[in-house]
Amino acid sequence: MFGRRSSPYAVPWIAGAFVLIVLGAVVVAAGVNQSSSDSKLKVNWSSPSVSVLVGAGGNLTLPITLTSQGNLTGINIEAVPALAPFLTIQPASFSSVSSGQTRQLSLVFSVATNSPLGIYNGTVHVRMGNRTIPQPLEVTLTITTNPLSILIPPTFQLNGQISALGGPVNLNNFDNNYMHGGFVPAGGADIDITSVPMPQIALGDFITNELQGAVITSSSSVAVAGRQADEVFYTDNFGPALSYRNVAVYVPLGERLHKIYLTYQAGDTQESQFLSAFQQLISTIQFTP
Amino acid sequence: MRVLSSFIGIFSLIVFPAFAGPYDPQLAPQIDTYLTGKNSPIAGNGAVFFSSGSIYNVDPRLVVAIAGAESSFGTAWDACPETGFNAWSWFYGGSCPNSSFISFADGISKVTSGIRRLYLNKGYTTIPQIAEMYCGSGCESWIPNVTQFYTDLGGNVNDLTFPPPSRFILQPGPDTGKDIWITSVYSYATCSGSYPGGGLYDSELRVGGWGDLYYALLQFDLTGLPAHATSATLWLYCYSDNSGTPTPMYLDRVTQFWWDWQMTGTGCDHDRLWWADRPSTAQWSAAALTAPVVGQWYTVDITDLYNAWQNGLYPNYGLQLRPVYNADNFNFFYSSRYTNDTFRPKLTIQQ
Repeated sequence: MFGRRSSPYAVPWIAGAFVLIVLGAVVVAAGVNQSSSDSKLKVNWSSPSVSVLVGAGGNLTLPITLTSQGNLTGINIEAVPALAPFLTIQPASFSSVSSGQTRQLSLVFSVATNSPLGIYNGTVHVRMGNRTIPQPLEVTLTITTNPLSILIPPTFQLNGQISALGGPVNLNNFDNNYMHGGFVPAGGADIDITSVPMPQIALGDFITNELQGAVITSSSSVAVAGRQADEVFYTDNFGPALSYRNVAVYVPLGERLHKIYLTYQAGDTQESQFLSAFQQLISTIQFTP
Repeated sequence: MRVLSSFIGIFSLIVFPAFAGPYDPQLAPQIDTYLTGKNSPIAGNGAVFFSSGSIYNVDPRLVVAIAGAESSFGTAWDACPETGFNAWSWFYGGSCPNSSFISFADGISKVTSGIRRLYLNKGYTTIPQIAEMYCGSGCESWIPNVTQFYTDLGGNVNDLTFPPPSRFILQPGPDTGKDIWITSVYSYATCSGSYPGGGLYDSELRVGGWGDLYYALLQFDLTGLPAHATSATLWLYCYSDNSGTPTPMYLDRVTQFWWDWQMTGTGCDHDRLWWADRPSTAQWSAAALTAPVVGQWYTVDITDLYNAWQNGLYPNYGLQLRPVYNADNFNFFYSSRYTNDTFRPKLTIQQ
């Protein structure tokens, strides 16, 4: 009789299907768990973004740290292709970084003398396998003809118009909106970097000469890029109720005297931040031989 | 380029380099003629443009040219009120609340010093670069106008400086300075009583009075300095008005030797110059000098007096600053004995 009968393969098929379903559920569940865990993976940089100016033929090395939120294994730190020709990360990999651990890295910018001038935007990101771990580090590299390399302090921007006119490196935090006459507005600060042929007189005499009319409040020797420099604090009184605080740093180097200035209005409540930003720039500046 | 840097004797004497450049000793009258041709009220200040340009090493033609671009040489006051003498529209932003000058001469001096320290020092060395900061928007005609006026006067757009042939700065310290203040009534001596009228030989120079009189005397050793100067400027730093009001001053030429007060004198000690022993003087300038501003350098043009000393017309016994007013009027300057050498009196000489 040909009654209904089960296929001789029916039981194993059902059993197999069941196993597959269970396994699938396990895998899916595991996948969900993996995804949930991965979504918590994150790295924090000591600074969320870095903006540097590097002169053609120049180098700049910046220390930076990353801190992991989650356990990372076998990670690589890479710059995007736009930045890769100019930027290497040292070290570029870690076998593991446990959650909460911090790793020291160096961003090494190196620009050839014949590199195209311009602004290069990109990121440095941490990769684990074929996955990118947020957050990427935002990097802006400006390649100029200036014989120096600097880390642009946070909140300051490079004044591109002045650069285009062949002027000094001008950084400010007020979108170039100078008061008429060229004065820094309230709450603003600007930094100018230039150089002149080495004066053939004593540096102290040169400084006295160029700051004629200002009130020098203090001066001292400081180390800049491994060389002895003079730092002068002075005040300018240009109006009945308006005076400016300034810091000037003079760095003799070969046949050039490099000069770095900070200016802001006297009494500004952000004075300590301005001075801190300026000192950060001074501590990282490099001059192209 | 000829370069010298030296010390003469024990004075701090700085000799600055000589350049071939846009410096023209005849520029002052040329500026006056040019401004007169523009019907400018600034005409007549050619010497101020020249001396300010020399002091700050800024081509005076540039300061004239900026006034031309900003206010048609002080004939158009759309931006800033005429009473402010602000032909350069400093701080203009719909108004000029912080930009009034007390005279065109004051404006010329301050704007010139600003061009030096805000621009030239920092590497803004061309008119377009200066324009980018000075006049950020709505200033399309600024560069061509400034350039036109500047070159009209013979300026070189590739060199905005104005270095005189040679420049000297004399700034004595406590060991060599000869400066002191005296007073007419009160004695600052511990032995006071029968010998009133003695000041102090300390870190300040007082001019003024409150019923009484305070004079300051200074004498610079001019040995080795040029026989003739195109400009000689006395610099004093005014640090206080003693909670009174600053006073204009008269400039006197001292006509008698006086720097022997530490050995001679009629007072009860030799620690000060007693009022009774003050030297004779002759008023040098008919007009009074303007009052200083507390917290700022105060300059006195003593070119004529310097040249009179150096050519032997008068012996150099120094100068005296005498107050115009003495009703709670005080000008307190630092002396050569002040601890911070930056603020001590100095004399700048340009050949």
